[in-house]
Parts: sequence; C-alpha cells; structure tokens
Amino acid sequence: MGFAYAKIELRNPRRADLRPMSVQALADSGANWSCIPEHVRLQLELEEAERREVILADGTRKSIPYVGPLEIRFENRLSFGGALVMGDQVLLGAISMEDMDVVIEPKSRKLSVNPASPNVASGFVGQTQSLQPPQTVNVQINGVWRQFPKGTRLIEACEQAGSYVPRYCYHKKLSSPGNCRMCLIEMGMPKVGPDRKPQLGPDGKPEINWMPRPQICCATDVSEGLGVRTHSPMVEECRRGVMEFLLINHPLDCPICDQAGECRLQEFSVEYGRQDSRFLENKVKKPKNIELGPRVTLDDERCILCSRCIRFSKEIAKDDVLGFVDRGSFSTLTAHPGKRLENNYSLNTVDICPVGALTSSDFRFKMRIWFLKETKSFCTSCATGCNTLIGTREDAIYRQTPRENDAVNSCWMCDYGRLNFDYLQSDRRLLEPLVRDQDRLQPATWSHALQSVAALLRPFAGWQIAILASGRMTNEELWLTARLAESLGATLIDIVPRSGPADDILLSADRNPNTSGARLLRVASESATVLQQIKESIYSGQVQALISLGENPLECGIAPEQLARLPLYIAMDLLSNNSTSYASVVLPSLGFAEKRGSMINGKGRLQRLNRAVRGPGEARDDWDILRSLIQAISGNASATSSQPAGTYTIEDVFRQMSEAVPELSGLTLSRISDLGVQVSNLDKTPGPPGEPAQEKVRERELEKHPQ
Amino acid sequence: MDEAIGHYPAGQKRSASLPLLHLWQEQFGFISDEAVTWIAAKLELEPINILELVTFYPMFRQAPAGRKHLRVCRTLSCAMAGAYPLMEKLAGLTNIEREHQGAGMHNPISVSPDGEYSIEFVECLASCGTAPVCMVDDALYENVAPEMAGALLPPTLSSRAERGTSHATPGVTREILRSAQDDKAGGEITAASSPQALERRLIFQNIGRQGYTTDIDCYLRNGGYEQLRKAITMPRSQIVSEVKSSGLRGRGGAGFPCGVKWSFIKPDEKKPVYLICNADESEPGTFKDRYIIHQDPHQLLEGMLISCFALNVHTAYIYIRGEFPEGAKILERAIEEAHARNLLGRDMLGTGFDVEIYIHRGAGAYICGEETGLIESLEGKRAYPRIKPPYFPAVLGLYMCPTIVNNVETLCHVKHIIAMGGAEYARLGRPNNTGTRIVCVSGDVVRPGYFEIEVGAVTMGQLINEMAGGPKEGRKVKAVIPGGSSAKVLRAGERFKLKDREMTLDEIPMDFDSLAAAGSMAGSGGVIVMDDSRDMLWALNNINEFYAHESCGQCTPCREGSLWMKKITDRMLLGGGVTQDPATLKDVADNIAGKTICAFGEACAWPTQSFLEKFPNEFATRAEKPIPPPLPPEYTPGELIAEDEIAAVSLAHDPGWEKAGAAGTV
Repeated sequence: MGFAYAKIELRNPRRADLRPMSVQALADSGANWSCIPEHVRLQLELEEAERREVILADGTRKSIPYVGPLEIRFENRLSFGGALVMGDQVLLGAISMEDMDVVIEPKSRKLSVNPASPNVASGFVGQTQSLQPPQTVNVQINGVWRQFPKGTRLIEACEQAGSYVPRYCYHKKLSSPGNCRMCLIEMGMPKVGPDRKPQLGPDGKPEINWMPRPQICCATDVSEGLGVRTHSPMVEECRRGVMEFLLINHPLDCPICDQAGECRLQEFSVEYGRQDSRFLENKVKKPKNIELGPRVTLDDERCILCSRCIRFSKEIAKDDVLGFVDRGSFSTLTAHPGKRLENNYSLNTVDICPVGALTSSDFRFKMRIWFLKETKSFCTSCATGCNTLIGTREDAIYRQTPRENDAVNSCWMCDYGRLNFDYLQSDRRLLEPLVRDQDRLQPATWSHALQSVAALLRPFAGWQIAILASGRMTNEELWLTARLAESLGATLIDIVPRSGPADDILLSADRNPNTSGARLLRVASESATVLQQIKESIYSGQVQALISLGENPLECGIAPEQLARLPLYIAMDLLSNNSTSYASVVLPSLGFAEKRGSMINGKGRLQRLNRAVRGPGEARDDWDILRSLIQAISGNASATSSQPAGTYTIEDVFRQMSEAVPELSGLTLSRISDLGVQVSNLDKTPGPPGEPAQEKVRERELEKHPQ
Repeated sequence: MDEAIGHYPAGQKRSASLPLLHLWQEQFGFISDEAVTWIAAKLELEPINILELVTFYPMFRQAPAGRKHLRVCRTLSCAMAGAYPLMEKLAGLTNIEREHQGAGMHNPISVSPDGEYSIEFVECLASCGTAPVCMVDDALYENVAPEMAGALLPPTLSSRAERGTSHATPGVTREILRSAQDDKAGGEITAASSPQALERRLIFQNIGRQGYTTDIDCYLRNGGYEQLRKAITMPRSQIVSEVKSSGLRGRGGAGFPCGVKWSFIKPDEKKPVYLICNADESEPGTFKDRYIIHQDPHQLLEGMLISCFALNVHTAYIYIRGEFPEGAKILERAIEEAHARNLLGRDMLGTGFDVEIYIHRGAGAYICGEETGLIESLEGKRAYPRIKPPYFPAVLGLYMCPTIVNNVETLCHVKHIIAMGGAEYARLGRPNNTGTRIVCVSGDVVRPGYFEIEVGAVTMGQLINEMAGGPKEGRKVKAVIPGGSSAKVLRAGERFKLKDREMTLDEIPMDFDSLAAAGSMAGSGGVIVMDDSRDMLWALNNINEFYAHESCGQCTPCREGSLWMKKITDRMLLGGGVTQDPATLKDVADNIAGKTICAFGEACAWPTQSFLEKFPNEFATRAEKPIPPPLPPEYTPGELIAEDEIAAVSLAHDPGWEKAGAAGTV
C-alpha cells in the first residue's frame, strides 16, 4: 500500500469545449476507484452513469454517484474511466494507476511512471494486477477452471475457490506432515496423449485422469492442469471415516470441555459426523490434566495427535520440547519431565490446538468462549505490536489471542505480551481525579482537577516545566502532549526508554510499543538525552514543575526527595504507584484495551488500538484529558495556536496530526486497516518467524487486500 | 559409542540414537531416565527426542528384565503352532503372573519374583517355518513345542545355548533343542537343507548346505566376489540397464521393478546417493532374508557392492531388524572381512571408488519395513512413514538425499543378474515376473520351510502339496495367505478368474501377476496355510492384534482403525459379537485402506476385508447378539464372560444397554 501526492489533469472527453482541470491528487493504491469532489464534477459537467455502494472505513455503507467518462492524464500517461463523487480531494485509485502504468515509489513517496517502461504504458493482458507477473497455473476445482500463482498450496487454492477443505494437522505457517487425513480429496492429472501433450476435451480444456485413490491436498502445490474434487461422494466418505476414527477414542464430554465452541472436532462433526456411535468398546485411557508447562495444561485423551504443537515448538519457537511417546492408538503427547513447555511462546500451541487437548492454564474454565466479544487490537508490551484479538465480556478482559498479520507477527505472539493485561483489572487502578487539598489527595471532579492543573502551572515559565511522556502513549496522545508543551512553552520533554532482552522471534528489545511514534512526533529524543537533561534540571532546581504522563519518575532515576522537593508534580496514570502520593493532581487515564488510538511499531507500521472494554470509574481517555488540559491552560475552548479547528473527537486529533506530519498524510484513524499501514521503513530486521522478507509480505498484501 | 556416531555423516548425529540406545541396554539392561538425558546430551538432542524413541521401539525397556529374558513369538504361524500354550507353560514354570494384554502399547514384560526370568510376547520373529519360536536373550530357539518349555529354562541348557550363539547359525541352537527333544525333530528341517526337484536355487544355493560357513574364505572358494570384480569393469549405466532388462521386481512386498527404481537416480546427481538394504524382515509368514543374513552374508554384501558401484553410492546401510542380533554380528564380521580384502572401503579393488557399508539395527518396529519409515528410523526418529509426494526416497530420501531402498533378496539377485546378464536372467520365470524367488511356507503343512522357485513355474498346489508335504494328516487346506499376513486370504474351493481362464486355488501360479489377478498379492513370499481345524475369526483376531500393535500411530485411519478392528474381533471371540459387527468391521477396514500415509493401511485392512468376504458365515455365526454386551467402565475379556460380577453401566440415552445387562445376554 502506498500514498503519494501527484499533479494530474482531468478532462471530460465528451466535452472538448471544457478546459481540463489540473489538480493535486492523492494517489492511493489501497483504494480501487478514483474519487473526485463535487466541484470537479460540476466543473467538468460529468454525467452520472450509475450509483455505487461503497463501504467506508467505519463500516457504514453509502450510495455514491459514479460519473464519467473521465480522462485522467499524468505526465505521458493517459486513462479513461469513471470516478465516484465523494470527499473533498481528488483521489487517484489503483485501477486508474494500473491503467496508466504508474507506480508509487515507496522511498520518495512520489507517483511516477513505471520505470520499467518509462515511455509507453505497458501491462499484462488478461489477468494480473500486480507489477511482477506471478506465474500462474490452471487448476480445475469442482469443475471450474481457475488460476493460481505457482507455489500455492492446493488446500489454500481450494479455500480461495470457495471450497474449504476441513483439516486438523495442516497449518499454513507450519510444515505439512499429512497425518490427520481429513483433507483427502479426489485429484487428477491432465490426460496426456501419445504426443505427450494434454488431451483437450470438447470444451477446449484439458481432460483429467482421476486417480482412483483419494489424496491429501495439504502437502501438494497447484500444478498445471490439476483437477480437484472437494465434495464428491468419495471425498465425503473419507471425511466421515476420519471423523468417526477421531471420535472413537475421544471423550464425548463436549459440554464440560473448555474448547467447546471453538473445537474443530465439533465443527466438522456438524458436516461429517455420525449421529450414533458404532464404537462398542472401551476407549483408550490416557493421562489427563497434565501441566505441560507453567502456562499450558494438557488433556491427552482429547489429543488427536495432529502434531501442530510439536511442529510449532520445533519450527517457530525453536524449542523442541514436545513429542509423542508410545505407539499406535496409545500414542501420547508429552514433554520430557526434565524439560517442560516453558518457552515464551508456549501459549501459541493452545491457539493452534484444533481440539481441547492444550488449554491455557490462565484462561481455562474461566469463560465459555461464545460469550466473549472479540475486539481487534494489538499488543502494547513491546515495539513489535503483535496483532491481537481481545476477548471480553461485560468490560472484563478474559484473554488475548494473536491475530494473523504477516507483516508483523504471522500468527503468533509471546506469552509475556499475551498475558500482560491483568493490570487493567488491578485494584491499584486510579478511578477518579485527585487534587491535593492541604496535605492530602482528595477526590475531585474532572473540571476541578483540570482547572487546578492549569492554575498550578500558570506561575511557571516554560523553562521551569518538564514533561515526562511515555512510549506507551498513542500517537494522538503524543501529538497532544507536544501541543501541551507548546502551549506551556516547555521544551524539556521526552519519553522514558524501556528495554529488555530480545529474542529473534517476536519479542523486541524495545519494550515501549510506540517509540517510533514518539520519535516521529518529536516527543522522544535520540538516546534519551532530554530525559537526562530533565533529571539534571530537576536536580539543579531549574525545573520546578513536572508533568508525568503514564510514567513513574521514581523508576527513571529521579529520587523521592527530589520529587518531594518539586513545587509541582502532576501525574496522569492508570495505576497508583509509589510516586502518586507526591502529586498535586492525579489524573486517571485509560489502558490500551480501553481506548482508541494509533501507534507505530518498531518496523514503522502504523496500527490502531480499538476499544475492547470501557474504562473503570471516572478514568478518562488520555487524549481527552490532554485536550482538555490544553484548553484549560490556554483558557479557550476552541483553539490554540496550533489547533485552528475544534478538537472534538480523536479523529480530529489524528487529522491535525496527519496534516502536519508527512508520513501520516492522507490517513485518518478509521482508515488504518486492521492490519495496519506501513508509514516508514524503519528497520530491516527479518520479519516474523516463518515469513518471507518484508518486501514479499507487502507484495502479497497488495494482492490480498486491494481494499 | 563414538564409533557408532562415526557411522553417520557429519551433522547427522541423531542417526546414532538407536545404536546408542542398543549399546546402553546391552550394558545396563534397560534404558533409565538417566540414559535418556545422557544420550540426548551426547547427540545434542532434546531429551524428548530420545524418550520418543524408547517408547516407540518395543525392544527398548524402561525397566530391568530378568537375568534371562524370554521372547515368545505370538504371531499367526507361531500361534497356530502353539505359542500361547508355550507362553502359559513358561509363565507357570517361572512363577510369573502375566499382566493382562492390551493395557498399553507394548506387550508387557513380566519378571519372575526371583528376578531370574522375564517373559514377553513379541510379534513375528521371522522364523515362521520353524514355529513356534522363542528367543532366550539373543539366541533363537526353533520348534519349541509347548511341552518343551522346560527345556529352555534349566540354567545348564541356557548357558550352553548362550555359549553356542556367539558365532553360531540357528542350526546350532536347533541342534541343542533337538537333543532335548528326540522325536519331534522330524522332516520339517530337511526341507530346508536339500533342494527339492521343483526348486531352482540361485540365491539359496548355499543355504542349509553341509559345511558351508559364513566366513569370506568359504564364500571365495565358492566363486564369491567374482561378479563384483566383473561389475567394476562395466560402465555404471550398463549395470543399471542389465538390472532393468532383467525385469527384476522387488522382493520386499510391493514388487516394484528394481531397474526402474534405480533409473530414478540421475547419473550426474550432485547430492550424495544412499543405498539402504532393507533387512527389517518382519512380515508375518516371511523368513527368507533371515537365512541369507545368517548363512550367506557375503552374497548380500556382494550384491550391495555391485549396486553401490552402479549407483555411485559411497555410503550404504543395512537396516537389520533388532530381533536379529546374531545376524547383525555375522554381517559386521563379514564387512570386516571384506574390508580386509579391500572389497569395500577406500579405493575399492583399486578402482578409486570409495564405499562403506554400515549396519544399523532396528528395535522391534514392523513399520520400519516401510521404506520411508525405515529412513526416518535410520535418521534417529520414530519410524513415521513420510508422505509421497513429495518425499519419494529416490528424490528426497535419507537426509533428504536420493536414496534407493532394496530388500535383501532383491540385492542378492543383482549379483546373479551380473553373472547371467540381464537378458539371460529374464528368461527365468515368466514375462514381467522374472527370476527366481524364495517362497516361505508356514502354518498347517507337513514340511514348512523355504523353497526357491522360478517365479510362476510352480503352482500353489505344487508348492503346498508337493514341496511342503501337503496338509497334516486327515486335514484339508481351508485357506491360504499367499504373500505375508497383509495379503488377502484365498479360500480353498474358491474359483479364481485369471486373465485367460478360471482356476482353483491349487492351480494359481506363484507369480506376481497371477496372485494379483486372483485378488491377493505375492507380497514378500510368505505363504501361510491354514487347515480346516482353524477358526477364521481367531486367525483374523491374531492378525488384527499384530497390526494394532505395529501401527505407528501417525495417521488417523490406521492408528484408530487397527485397534478398533482388534477390539471388535476380541469381543466376538469372547462371545460378545453383535449382529452389526461384521458390517462395522468391513466399514472400518474400508475406511482405512487407501486413506493412509503408507501401505500399512492396506496391510491392516486387507486381512479383515478378505476374511469377511471369504468366510462370511464364520463371522455371522459369532455375531448374533442383537444388542451389545454391557460395558463396564473398565473391563477385561475375562470379566466380560463372568458377567454376573459386572455392574452394568446405566446409560440414560440407551435403555437397551441396561436391559442387555439385566437379561444376561452375554
């Protein structure tokens, strides 16, 4: 995906009498259609051809006029087409860009003609949209010929063709052992004539020689002329057979199984299960309730021996701790007693376990999963920003699970990040604003608290004020923090670095989720030089007022007596801590799961937090607190010097920020896709485990999510 | 131990897992927890990698056995010859109360109270022609009729046997037993020693020959290694094309043309190419490779060396089943001897060609006979067969390099193909079924044993009635399993429609294509004959138990289905058969065959399918109960019969079950 501004010319080809319009357009390869504002349509007298339904980033649908023909010119390129009438700027969509054979240069963020063919627009006829022609092969799936890029797994191809093939052992990020036999399908190769060329049928397509035996489709790539039947009687028979086999020794106590509701055995039983059991024997007894490690519990009787967890441990977590012991029907999953499943990625085995064998010791039996509401978010425990789903019910968080994003975390996340949400439900949460009255912090109303802060800060000059911001704050909060500093005239502002040992899987050494955002928004200094200055200035007495936003000054090298000596200390935080008692005003704010906002991860990807639960008590959204503070300080509800328009929603904050920061231009908070947007290429470290290089991922994304 | 590690390429230390476990067990008697962690550390593996192996391969014990460990074969031919009474007898004599079967995956080892003896039922020991057989530690005892059990035990006799085994052929131990039992030695052994008129001995020329020994001098005296000397003067491609034109088909079971397999190896292959000799002979009813290994090891080595030269193989392995400890020693010595004469090693016979052959011992897993399972096992893993595609051994075999896996007998044939020339060899036998092959006859015949015949030159009737002496007195042949227990059973009296005409069982020629046309297979050449005294349900149950025990457990249908089939036939055998049982059995078998990773699926399903098809009445009459017997939470077949003592489980959803209990239908 990419954005760039470019000067283009628009004409109505039917009306030679009208003069062309030269406009600055936002080229957005993430959008299919081009858009023009109403006034352009009026100027060019474009006619409405039809109405189209569009889905906006917030999910609402709208009916929009589609007008044309519209002639678009860029440099030596030309395209005829139509455009949607919406918005207040010209937006050049992917279809027009493809048509003109122009590309967005990722580095310079400029639109340019395809450098491979600078003089004449070139392209591929018939099929592909991507810049490099992927080699495709023809595959017949259930009688319909389709094309797939070479190297596509057959099981994926079937899924893309709308024929989901049930599977247990196959996981797209792991090797294929082909052991569950659930994905058996009918397969055929093109019939080859005596001339060694495929024989064509009456329809001109190759005829297929069907193999008499079913084949697994999880370990085979598509190949030219391959034929597949995913729902023939033979295939259904195979699936019914495998389902029956899997269940004969499996406990049928679904009502009390923690996996119920997200169990693949249950799912595929609906389609391929038998009503009655033909199994009249005793089931094989195996160990139950085994602590496989500190965070994972195993029930061997439920295990269907698909080996996903074993392969994950070996291939992704690089910790070969799991294995099968015994043989045949008595095969049992286990870890060696001397080396248990303790690695920081152990809970991913729970995610990929298709049945109730591996369960999270933290989550099991806490909540039936069908009661959980799942909110797309990302993990804020380090700079990787693994994409997540937060499972909640009635404002309580029960679990976090990784959400697939090949540019960030593949399908995985670390246990540390996954379980790091308890603090949101801690009883140390600050629930209401506190204002110091005499010697004691007393509960106060928000307006009183904010006015107090403004009043308390008024005596101090900018050089006497320091702001301790946090790399855990969102971009919007950081942006407002910078505006707050501006309105106070303060220049001593920095974030507190936070680091820990990294692994070369997902965990980053930078434990702040938004260091990149803080740098981009100029809140963070390089190598914490300003933070050092702040400490020194507090020590020297130059700084008289300290505002800490989500950080504990006592934990970043400021001694308690120095904090005590400060005339003014304002704290905005989630939890009370040992520094809270020194504050003159305490402003309770919200945690990552309780608010919206964006952050930029260590690799320059802009991602959005979504609200999964409401905050407790009277705690307020951080951006809201900061906005109100700025207003209170500047004594004006409508504007500060840097905020010409009113700031009523977090979208407004983002808009202001995107107008000022080139990297974010053209974006809105709602338009950040669920998988994030690459806004800068900050680092070249390898992608998540089992994923190709970043460039490849981006290319694939382009193909997969043309939005 | 370091020497064992040195047998495998650098970076493939894991392959030494099995050898190290064997060494440890030989030294300390069993594999302790300490052994698991120690070996894992030694091979730079995780402990779980070793624990996985110890529990997969039944020969490894996690607890000490008795000072004498007795292994009794319980598979079909031995069972027919009285292995179960023998076991009972042994248990009685040693005061061992055997744990009940089926409690776990291993046949349990039971140790006598004094720690002197331990006994264990094992699956086929590949000596079905001399059933029942029994191993005392590393020594094999043949024709151990139950009444002879005592002869195995007195310390004097055992120690004598032990002394005799250090470099003895099975013949020696046989002698000892024969002396213990005067009258039973009879004719069954003479069949092996002297070739019959219908035989055509090529591979077995020297088997059972008076005065023929396993040392290299004896082999050289009999023209040994001449063909190797001839082969190294030939261009490699010519050797391959001779093998191709010979029409030799694999003797391991699948009958795949050997020359075609070889031609999968590119002549300009950049990766190392491996040759593996599959000496994991464990298909019930098959006992041919045992004799080659124990009595004519150099013939195998010569065949292998020619093959190595032809395929440009510098490292070859002989994967020999763990239950052939003597065979492994004999082969080790043969390799040493060949080394000393520069028949292998660096610059073999001055050709500039380096070749090494190593012995790799299995540890009691039938699945290692499957070539990709064997490769995994050789790599030091559980013998889980690989999926094909993509892991065809000739492309991605051992260590992901091109690999040829051939059966012992197949490799021996290579020597004779070089001697005769491919075209001349192809004149033996029938078109597409060329050469000779060794057929092993066991079960209910007067003279069980091995016979080398020209493929297709002998009919089933000639084989059973003339060569093997026909059924025992007063008995008639009822059924024949023609190619190892996996092959579909053929019923006497059946009419078989072959290509040109209809024929009886006796008329079927013993070749690949005719047996396939008759609906079964030539398989590994193990012919098991059952006479009219045999209960087909019992026989099938015995086979089912074998497959349930040997299923590797990797893929669903075979893992779950093989044990299920065994449980059904168990129950039927004990009188608990219900009307739907035959249909269920057939369905289960149908759902396994063709749906698994490897051919084991067919191997375990075909017996059930064919027994049910050929002997429907025997099953129907044992499955007449309208409703299943009451199912206690935990039951043993013994308890199932003593129904009074079992509290019937109340199953709310199916009152029929409770009624069944109350009505005493069992």
